[in-house]
Amino acid sequence: MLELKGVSKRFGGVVATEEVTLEVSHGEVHALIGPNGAGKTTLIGQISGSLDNDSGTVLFEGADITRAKQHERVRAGLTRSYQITSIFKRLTVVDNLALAVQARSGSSFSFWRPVAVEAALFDEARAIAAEIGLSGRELAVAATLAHGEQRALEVGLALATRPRLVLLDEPMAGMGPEESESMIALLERVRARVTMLLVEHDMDAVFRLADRISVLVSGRVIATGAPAAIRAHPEVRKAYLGEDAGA
Amino acid sequence: MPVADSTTETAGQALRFGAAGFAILGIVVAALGVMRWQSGGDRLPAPIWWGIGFGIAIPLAASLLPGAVVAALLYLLVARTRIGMLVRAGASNREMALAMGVNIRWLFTLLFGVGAGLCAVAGALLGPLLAVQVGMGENILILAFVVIVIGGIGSIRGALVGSLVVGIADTIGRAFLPILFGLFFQPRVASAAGPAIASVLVYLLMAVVLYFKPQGLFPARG
Amino acid sequence: MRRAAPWIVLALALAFPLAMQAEHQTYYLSFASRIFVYALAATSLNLILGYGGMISFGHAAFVGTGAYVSSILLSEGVASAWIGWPAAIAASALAALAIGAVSLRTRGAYFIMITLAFAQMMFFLVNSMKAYGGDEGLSLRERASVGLGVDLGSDVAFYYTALAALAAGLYGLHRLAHSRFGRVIQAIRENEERAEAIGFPVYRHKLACFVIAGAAAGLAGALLASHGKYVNPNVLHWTHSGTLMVMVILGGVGQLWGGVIGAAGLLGLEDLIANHRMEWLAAMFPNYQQHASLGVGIVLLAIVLFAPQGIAGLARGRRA
Repeated sequence: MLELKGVSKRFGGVVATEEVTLEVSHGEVHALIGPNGAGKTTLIGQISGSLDNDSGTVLFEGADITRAKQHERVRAGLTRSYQITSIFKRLTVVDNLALAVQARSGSSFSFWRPVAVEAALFDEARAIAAEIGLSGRELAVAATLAHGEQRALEVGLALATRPRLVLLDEPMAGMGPEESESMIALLERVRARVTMLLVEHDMDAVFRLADRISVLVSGRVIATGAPAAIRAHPEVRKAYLGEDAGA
Repeated sequence: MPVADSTTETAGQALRFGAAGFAILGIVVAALGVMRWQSGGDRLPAPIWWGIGFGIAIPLAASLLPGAVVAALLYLLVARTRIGMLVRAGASNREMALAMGVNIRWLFTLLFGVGAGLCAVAGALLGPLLAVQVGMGENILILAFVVIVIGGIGSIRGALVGSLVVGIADTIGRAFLPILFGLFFQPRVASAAGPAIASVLVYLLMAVVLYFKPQGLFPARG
Repeated sequence: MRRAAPWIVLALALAFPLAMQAEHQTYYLSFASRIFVYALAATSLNLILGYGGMISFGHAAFVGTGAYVSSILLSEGVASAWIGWPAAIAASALAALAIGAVSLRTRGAYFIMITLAFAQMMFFLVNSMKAYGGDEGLSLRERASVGLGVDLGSDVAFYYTALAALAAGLYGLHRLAHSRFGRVIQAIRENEERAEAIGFPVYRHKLACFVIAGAAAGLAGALLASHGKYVNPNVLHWTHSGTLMVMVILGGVGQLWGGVIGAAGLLGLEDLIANHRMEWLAAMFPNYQQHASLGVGIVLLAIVLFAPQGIAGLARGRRA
């Protein structure tokens, strides 16, 4: 479904990603792990279109989207969520989600008709709110939500665009055990209809959810495979645990 | 009510431009000095203490010197000193700098003052060149903006290149465009269109540069 | 009560000339018309500044384009407003399209400066048009004519025309703010990156907003030119953009009535200081009336420091 070939990016003298070749199959949950600073967020940016590629190709469902703008990729079914929460803080939960629904349903160059009459828009927004566990908090202003709720909204915004492939950048960032469980449950519910590329540090979540895992270290992919194989992979152990890693 | 994130970002950007931008005033003065010198202007009535060192009134090109000195000093201040580092940090991520214990408000207020002071220096240097009046800063201000935009915000090298480009393009445009127009068009059209296009040449130049490089010619990194 | 407020204001505005006629105070009719025109211009700036979050320092360019296009047509013998004003609107919209297309590729401080520079470019261009007055400006013999048996030369007629234009502009903004487009624009103001990340073509929306605002500003410009029967390049000067911005900030950024309150407030304050001598103030500062701008500046500082949501924000009980 998604193919990366030789994707690279540097910022001045710093090489963030280097010759990354990766492939995500239809319907799988593909986890991307690696130490801090490995370039995972940069890679997500390159795939989603927030960042330009210095070199390499990005293919989505066979089409070359390397030069496509971010909003075009979203229209094609490829959306991302952000590691640092990026929601519409001054709007309510419902308004946040309704925006995402509005983006994919019809033209937004309509200047006269009030959005309030579009019941379908808000019904769907409320449905998504329920799915991400924010049923009772629909009318709360996003800035007043707890951290875990904001992360749920963060993911919800991405899901509301009805992507075929969603790029989740550390959805569980900053979450405690209970909130993480809710997020894992949400992702389990959603995996049937959305392919996922999941960047995460929470190894428990990764090994529970992932079909395959790719490991990114210093901008390069050093291993790809089934969870069990990755867990035993010597290079991976070295990257995470240091040179003298035992069995 | 929280301040919109874009405002903080804009403020940060504006400050970055301010930190380096006021240096270009000195450079613009220098450029103007070059222009005046090229057009065979008369001597700058130099301040007495310059005269002491050299015995005679210094020709106009000497106005380049203070500009260059200011630019160099400012570059050193921003890029090489601790205070300069704090300023750059504050502009890059205000909250983080605050968390690190930097008194950002005080620092930026000081910076604003330094910038104003530099403007005063520029004004003093410009005094003999232009008439001293209430609005004398306005024309320079706009040109300074154009220079910064063409050169790249927050970039001293960009400011230098930008000011040279603007100064030269403006002078050459004003001098030669009317003549050029006169060669190809009827006198009536040429006499109207020539000066008009010449006066907006720098802005057209800016538009063209920005179309191809929205961050300017030498955008500051980071 | 709040829902009725606009209607009450409208009723008062409609009745105003009748009260004024009785007193033969046509000066105030003319002054009120000027407020309406500036309110329209400020409201158009409010759309891109307050609702869209685009800090444009070049809005005067669009007001000026409208003013000059309609004036040039008038001076060339095209007296009908039905031709002149749509032409002004179209010209300003086109200018906004051209300037916006280039400027909107930049963000933040860059955007402020490039809009400023483009406005100055227009100023210099117009200043060098000797055929239409150059820096001395262009005087018009008469205001534009709307036919239908109405003579815009009459202050009352012009007052109602300006009022109609302002009312139309305000209603349009109201509908726009609540429409799909309005939601996207405000979302872009709140978090531009995320707006793009959920699938909105941000640049296109910002450009459309810019053009709409430019068109409205063009109409304001055409009305302004007809009102004073005079136009000069200063209407395009960046300081004029500053004045419009002051009005928006004073009135309330992003609030529907921000432009109106700001225009009324600023122009009213200037008139008050210049023409109505306050003895208690004169006792302390004998020449204060010649320094009206200082007083206005102090009021503006106070607003920005203590009531950033402007006067409209104060009225709604919000003090950010």
